[in-house]
Amino acid sequence: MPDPVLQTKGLTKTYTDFWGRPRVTALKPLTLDVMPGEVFGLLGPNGSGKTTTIKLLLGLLRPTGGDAFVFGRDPGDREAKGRIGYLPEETYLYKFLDAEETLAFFGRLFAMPAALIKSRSDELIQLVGLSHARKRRLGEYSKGMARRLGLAQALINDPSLVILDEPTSGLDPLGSAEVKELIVRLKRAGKTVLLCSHLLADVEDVCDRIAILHQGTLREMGRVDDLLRADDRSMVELNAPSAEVLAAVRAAAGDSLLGVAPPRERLEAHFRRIIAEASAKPPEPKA
Amino acid sequence: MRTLLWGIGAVAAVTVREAMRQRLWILFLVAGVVVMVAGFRLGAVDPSARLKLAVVTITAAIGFVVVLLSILTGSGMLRRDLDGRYAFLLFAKPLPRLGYLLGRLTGVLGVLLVGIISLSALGSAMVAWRFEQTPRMLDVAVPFDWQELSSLGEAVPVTEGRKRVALSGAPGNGVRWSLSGLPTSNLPDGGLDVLLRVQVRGADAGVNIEDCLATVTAAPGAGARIGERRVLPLDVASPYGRGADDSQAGDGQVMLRHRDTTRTDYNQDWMRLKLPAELIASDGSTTIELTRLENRATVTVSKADSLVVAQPGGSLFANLVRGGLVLLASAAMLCAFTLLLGVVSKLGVVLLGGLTLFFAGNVVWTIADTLEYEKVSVPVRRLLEAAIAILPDFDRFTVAARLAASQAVPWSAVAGAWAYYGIFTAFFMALAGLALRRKEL
Repeated sequence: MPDPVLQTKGLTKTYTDFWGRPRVTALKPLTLDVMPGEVFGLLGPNGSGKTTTIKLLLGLLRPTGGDAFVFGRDPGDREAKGRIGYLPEETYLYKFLDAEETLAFFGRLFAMPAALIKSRSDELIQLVGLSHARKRRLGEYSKGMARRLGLAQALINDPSLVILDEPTSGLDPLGSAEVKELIVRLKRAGKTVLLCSHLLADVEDVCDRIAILHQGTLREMGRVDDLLRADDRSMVELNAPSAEVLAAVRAAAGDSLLGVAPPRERLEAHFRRIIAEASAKPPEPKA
Repeated sequence: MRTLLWGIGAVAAVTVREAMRQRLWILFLVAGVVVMVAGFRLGAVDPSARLKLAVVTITAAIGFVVVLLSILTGSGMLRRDLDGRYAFLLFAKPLPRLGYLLGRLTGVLGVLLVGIISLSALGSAMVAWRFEQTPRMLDVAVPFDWQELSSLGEAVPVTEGRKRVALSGAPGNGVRWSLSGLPTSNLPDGGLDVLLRVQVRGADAGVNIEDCLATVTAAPGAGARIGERRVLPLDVASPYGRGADDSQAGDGQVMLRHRDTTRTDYNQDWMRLKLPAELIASDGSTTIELTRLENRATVTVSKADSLVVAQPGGSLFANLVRGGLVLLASAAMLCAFTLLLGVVSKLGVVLLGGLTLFFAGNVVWTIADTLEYEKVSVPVRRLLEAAIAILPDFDRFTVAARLAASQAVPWSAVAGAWAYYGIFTAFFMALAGLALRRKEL
């Protein structure tokens, strides 16, 4: 069995005041493993300890108790950090730089050669759909554009572990869908992804396993399919059934039937279809 | 180490880029305008004084910009990164926190260097244009030993601690200086300049005499091995040294004139003689003697600066840049100090702290003066002594006065300034690195 990429053992964080007196315990003993190639979702409402966990894993905070390991090393280890891509909850990028300069700056922090930075930047700018704005300063970017560039900087070093804190925050539905597709592509490429979000649909679509935190405590952890499966129910899908067929189904099911209704398209899929159709044909002049 | 260096380079480059895009160059522009206006508007009694004022103004403009930006720029960016949470992203990368601080410091110094070079070039051009000449900068060597000569030719070493020698009584007495380390090749035409400045008073009280005949001779070598002595010729462009009507004072003689110690321009206030190459020994040593020839005047010779040997010290531009590098050393220290404060406190405290250090460091000499006052109580004395011991002295390397006096700023002065302020800079950076490392984000 491969070694976990991320590992915490009884990881605890208590924030203190200036005099060192405990103020609030943001994370109660947390023990979890994230394995290579896995997309792991960290869920929880605001203030549940998700971001604190990420900061502990990145060495931005020191734990009050327990241990954390990233690639088997301490979180602050520079070699470990060299293999991590991180997108914070908000996009903290310098507004006086343009997209290329931003990626070059972060590339240099990883000691990447200039030629490699150039080729990776071109590739990532195209990937996140910012080719048209690559020379524009970030001060002129919309929130969504800055978010896309934030995602690009997280991938500049071709990381083995990608930590995404609310990656779809500020993105329109198309952008959100692209991010989800990107996460799936990262998984296919063998990358490990730690996804932190309170948008449950996003997590459900892409994660292999999830952990649910509440008030700093781990409430549940496991495979998405296992956690969401309702063993005492079954779903039957029929293609354009006639009234007679439906009547027969109702009769056969008897009291165990919970309901019969046409399936609903998911709003996200519907939105994407409408936009795709609108993009495919020019707008008709209004009468 | 490679990651550290790349990180420092990346942060330094982004610091320079930010400074330029945030239009900090406007400050350089304002300073440049001040230099230009001052060059044309400053009034003084004569062109020489106007030239000095212009040079002082250029140096002051450079100093002002350097101090202001060193306090504001690095610490402002650091606080923005911490308060605006940019640090989350930066320190999630393999960038050591000390590397970040070093990058900020290097970037600020890079910006200041650009400013120093620009203002030096502008200032030199303004001086050349306005005054149709630039001051002749001189690099000087001072004697390592001096002796008093009696009228009978007897040489007596001047005791340590004695700062001046008054020559009076029977004529024929004088002073002998020994110098070493002089260049022996590629000398200017006619040789090196020997600059001499003494005070001359009437031997009898109430008699107004301000000149005295003397001879100045030199011989190659120093100490026991001294070669043949020869009279030093007066430079044709020497500001004084001749007799009445600007005629030759006498065969092999010069006319000393009173020049008090407040006059500091090598080109205006020192008599200039020529020291030919044959009077310098192959090891760069020479011995120079001043012999007083009249008993009607008392000639006072100062140990510190009555005699120096000068050679061309480069262009005004080169000296302004070197002077700027001296200022840059103190700016590096100020920047490091404000970075330290920036890690542990808010921007207001940072600015206050930076300015406090600057002002305190500029009055170290007054603290030393206070200590010489007898009535200082013991606790106050201890406090002042501690202040002198720990405060960096911003007056230690006087650049403006030196440049205004046509004295070159040698590379050794630059190295000395960086060695002195570098210790403080390293100390503050080490503390800042430790504090940032312990800081939770």
